[in-house]
Formats: sequence, structure tokens, C-alpha cells
Amino acid sequence: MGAGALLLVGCGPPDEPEVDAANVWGEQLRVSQAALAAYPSISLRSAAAKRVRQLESQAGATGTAPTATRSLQTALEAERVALQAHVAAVGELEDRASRELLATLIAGTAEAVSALRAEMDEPPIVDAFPGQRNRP
Amino acid sequence: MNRRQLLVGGAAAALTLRAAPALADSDEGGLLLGLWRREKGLAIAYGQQVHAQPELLGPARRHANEHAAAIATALAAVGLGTPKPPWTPNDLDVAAQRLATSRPADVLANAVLVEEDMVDVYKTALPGLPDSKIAMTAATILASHAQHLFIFRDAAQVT
Repeated sequence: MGAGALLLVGCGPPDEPEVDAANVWGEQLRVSQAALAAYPSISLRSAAAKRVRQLESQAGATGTAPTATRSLQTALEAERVALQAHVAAVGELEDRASRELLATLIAGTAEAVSALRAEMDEPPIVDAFPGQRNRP
Repeated sequence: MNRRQLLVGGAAAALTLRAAPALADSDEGGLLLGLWRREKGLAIAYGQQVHAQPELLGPARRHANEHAAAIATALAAVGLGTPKPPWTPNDLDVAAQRLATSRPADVLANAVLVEEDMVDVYKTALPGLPDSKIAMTAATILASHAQHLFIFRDAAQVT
């Protein structure tokens, strides 16, 4: 199995700082907006826009739309960053509503990563634990 | 072919056999045991059908085993051992059993259905996992199942 998956279990710092949920949601919105801005005009873009709208409606989430070079490659890189951010947020936000929204975002973003890879004629799945930091 | 046509043509009967609840227990250990059983069952089911679509089902089986191993690590972290694994299709949950015993023409359709179940199972489980690192591991496994669902839908031309 991936060593990274094992490392996720039981190795956290003893004293974790208090989480500012608004900051966490702001980061989720920022990375999802960055991904949306990187999409070329393809059908996958509408799903990315829906994820941004879901985050915009989340209480406390704020942000401004970024600009980016639009290409499949930059969209893929941005969605990978977004997926990692959503997985990390699961570790920060424990309440049911947050976890439910994050689960929806994670499933959608992971699908987008595979769909973008497929559009680029790359293997759509490269890892058993997508969204871990420092992994594909 | 759209999803409805696929189901009507090949796996309509499966619609009446929704997966047995995997998450009967609401405590963290019970949730993890349910997830472990689902992953081990899925690995067996893919193994039964791997000859039909080796390029798709081979990685799916390997990933299910990797997911089960990660969940076994989480079980140990909450003080639980790893139970005896399922061994034959008769030991599996309904969704995995359906895939394991599929006719060749129905394998992809049932792979879609079982991965839809797995995505739902992890979406349901995620709010019930208080340990942040265990929850993050489950989140990456949810992502993995969402990706397998995408490729199976794509291969089956389900819209």
C-alpha cells in the first residue's frame, strides 16, 4: 500500500491550533476558483463552475476570481491542488455539514482530475489515494 | 447508450438488489469495519471478473486491496484488529456479490453500480469519522472510488 496512506494515521501534532472555519472555506473557494479560471471552453468547465457556486454559498466563504492561462494542463494542475486542499480541509473541519459538502467536492474534483487526464490521453487514474499531498 | 438503456438492457434486475447497508454501526470502529469489509469484498469481486476487462478491473482490484490495508491501519489506530476476510462470493455484500457473479456482458454495468455504492458509502461515512487523519485517509479513498466510477461509466458509455 502507499506509505503516505499509513502516515496519515496517528501521527498528528500533540497540540493542534484552533481552526478558523472561514479561512478554511476561503481557501477552498480560492483553489476552486483558480481551477475554474484555468479551464478551456470544454464541457467539464460547467461542473467546475458548479463546485465554485457551492462554495460561494457556504457561509463565511469569500474570494475574488483569479485569472489564469486556460489549458487542459493548467486546469489539471489546478484541480489536483483543489483536491489536495479539500482532503486537507476534511482534517480541519469535523462538523457534519462541512464534511458532507467536502465529500461532494472531493468526489466531483477527483472525477474532474480523471476526466482532464483522459482528455489529454493520459491514464485517468494514477494513484489509489488521490488528493494526498506530494502524490500524483 | 445512456444509463437507463444500459440498466434496462443488462442489469435491470440489479436495481432491485441495492447494496446491503455497510455502515450498520455508527461508532468510528464500526464504520471502519464496514468500510474494510466493503473494500475486501470489492477486491474479491474484481478478482472474479478481472479477465473480462483486465486493464480496468486489475487496477481497481489492486486499489481496493490498498484501501483495505489503509483501513486496517486505521482500525489498529482505534484499537481494533483486522477481522477474518471474506473468502467466496457468498461472503460478500450484495453489490460486490452481484459484480462477482455477473455475466460478461453485465460486468461494466455492475462495476458502475458497485462504484456508485462505494462513493455513497464514503460520503455517508466521512461525517462519522472524528479522527482527522483517519477521515483524511477516507477522503482520499472516496476520491479514488469517484475516479473508478468515472472510468467505468466512460467505458460503459453511461451518460
